[in-house]
Amino acid sequence: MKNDLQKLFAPPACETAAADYIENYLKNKAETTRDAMGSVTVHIGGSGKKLLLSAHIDEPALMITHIDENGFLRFAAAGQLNPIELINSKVVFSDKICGAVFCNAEKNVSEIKISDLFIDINAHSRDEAEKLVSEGDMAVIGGRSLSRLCCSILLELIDEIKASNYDLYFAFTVQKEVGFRGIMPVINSVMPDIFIALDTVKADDIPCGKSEIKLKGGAVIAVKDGRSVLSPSLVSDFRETAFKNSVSVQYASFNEQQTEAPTAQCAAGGSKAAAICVPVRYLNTANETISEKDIYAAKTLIKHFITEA
Amino acid sequence: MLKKLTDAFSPSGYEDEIREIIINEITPFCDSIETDNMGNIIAFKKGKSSKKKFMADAHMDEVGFIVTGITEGGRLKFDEVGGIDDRILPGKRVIVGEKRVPGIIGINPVHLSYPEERNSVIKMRDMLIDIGVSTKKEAEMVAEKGDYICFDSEYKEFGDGFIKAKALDDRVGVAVLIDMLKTANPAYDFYAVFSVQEEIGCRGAAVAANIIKPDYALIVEGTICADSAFTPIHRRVTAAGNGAVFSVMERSSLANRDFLNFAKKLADENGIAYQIKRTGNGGNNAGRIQVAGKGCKTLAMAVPCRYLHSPACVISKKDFEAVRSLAILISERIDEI
Repeated sequence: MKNDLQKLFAPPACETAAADYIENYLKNKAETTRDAMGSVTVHIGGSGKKLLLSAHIDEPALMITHIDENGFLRFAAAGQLNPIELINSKVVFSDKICGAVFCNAEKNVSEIKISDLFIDINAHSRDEAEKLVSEGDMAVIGGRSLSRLCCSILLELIDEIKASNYDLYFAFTVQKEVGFRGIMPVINSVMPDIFIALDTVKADDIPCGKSEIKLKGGAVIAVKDGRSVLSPSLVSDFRETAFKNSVSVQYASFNEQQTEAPTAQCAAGGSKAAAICVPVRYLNTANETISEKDIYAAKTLIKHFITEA
Repeated sequence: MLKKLTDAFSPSGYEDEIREIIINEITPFCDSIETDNMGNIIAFKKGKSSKKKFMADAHMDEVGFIVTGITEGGRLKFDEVGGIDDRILPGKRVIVGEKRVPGIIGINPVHLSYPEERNSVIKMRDMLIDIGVSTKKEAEMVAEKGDYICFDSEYKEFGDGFIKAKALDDRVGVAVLIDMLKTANPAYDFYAVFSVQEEIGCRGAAVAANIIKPDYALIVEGTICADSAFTPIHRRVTAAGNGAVFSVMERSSLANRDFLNFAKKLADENGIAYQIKRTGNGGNNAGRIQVAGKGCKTLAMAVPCRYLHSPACVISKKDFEAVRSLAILISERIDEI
């Protein structure tokens, strides 16, 4: 795995470091383009239908909304963040300045909101804090995000795939965490026939979890994502590919949209869309946990799909 | 100018009156003006360079209501067009339909209400508009189902440089765009979009952006202002009098960082006051514009506006002036980003 990619600072709308990394990695290998929103697209080529594979480069973040007179920071969430999971987390700003999230509200746990939390950056007055951060600055959680592990998988696939049955495009998209935004202009540019989103998804095989998605359970093939039913023919292609090549897979149906697939499905001229996910325990916290086995399964599944199906 | 703009009767989907005012005002200053199929005005002014396209957007619609029924007693049932808080409605003056019939939003008199009624919010569906007639037949002569309704509230300047009017969201933006067309010497080809139907889901701007395909888009808005003692300090999202507001993040978009930093730099260099919006809430046309076509770089800049979506929105002239001068500067120097 390309671990340095996970350590980059890339909150929504501030993904330049991750986009640079990807463009740099692909230099001399393929021609990349970066659109106005910041997403990177690469056209590998080949004959056949247009197939676009996409992984997002951003990660959820905290946007500073207020600095108080004692140097404490208030924030809003850029992306889906659970206030309970944020408490006591370390957060990191673009220039490596660190802080931690605390809560001092006298409330029941279930009533705690993001607006009850604050960040301590060890500044003791507004002046001191303003030397380190400004309102509108972003901070990420823990300083490492597995959100981008799917980008690593795509980069490895670009390296490894020599021939395919498709006209291949890869996209590394911005602003997924805040509402699947970066993918829209990409779809309008590429106009794919087939779209595959590669993303991480919460593994809930923990105490009091529903255990629908299991860590070490293999690549997750999404059947339904939010209000969208993903392409049944692609799902069955993936099922067959997994069976033929003994790739371990699990199936899932998401109540709320988790991947870019539904957005891509009906954008521009429309496409057949699928989503393959890697399970992550404690997603979007400082303690994200993954299994190499699932990463391998997702990568192998897609590789066989591209070259065989 | 702002008086003429805020007095116009133009809820979402019924923007004819404001559209006519704007077109009459800007025609001498544009190279071309087009009204698209949805009703957006797209005004074009040639720039020093045609290398890139710069778009500015202000929505010209306002929140209002629509007549949904008439009672036997000649009162009007109604529903909202855009998001309006039920709590502010009782007793407010409105204007109904093409005949501009005056009306009052009425509720059960306090003398006859039960304590539990007084302690809860009365829902819009339990209010009726009184237009001063006594029978359904009389009411039907001046109003019908589907008629639009607007707040009845005149423009007034008060206190130390404050303005009160309805629809300041987003007629302040409209006024800024008109001034940009009149006075700016734009760096790139400039498209001023006066968009329709923002209040019911940012629909017009998405269409206009797909027609124009801009490289940069500046969204000029009236935004949430909470600066009274009711609000804890860290939740006072903007304050009237503190300058132009940059919306770094709202529900549907994030500011392009290069564009944001450029605007801050211009403001600093020219002594224009600005503030960062202290919330991720609220929404504006940027969300639809940035993902239209192949995407574009957006920045939303706003005048803080107290009591949004009410008959008495309040802004400070200072903030209006800050947004106006910064918007003109941005259009003239956008090529320096």
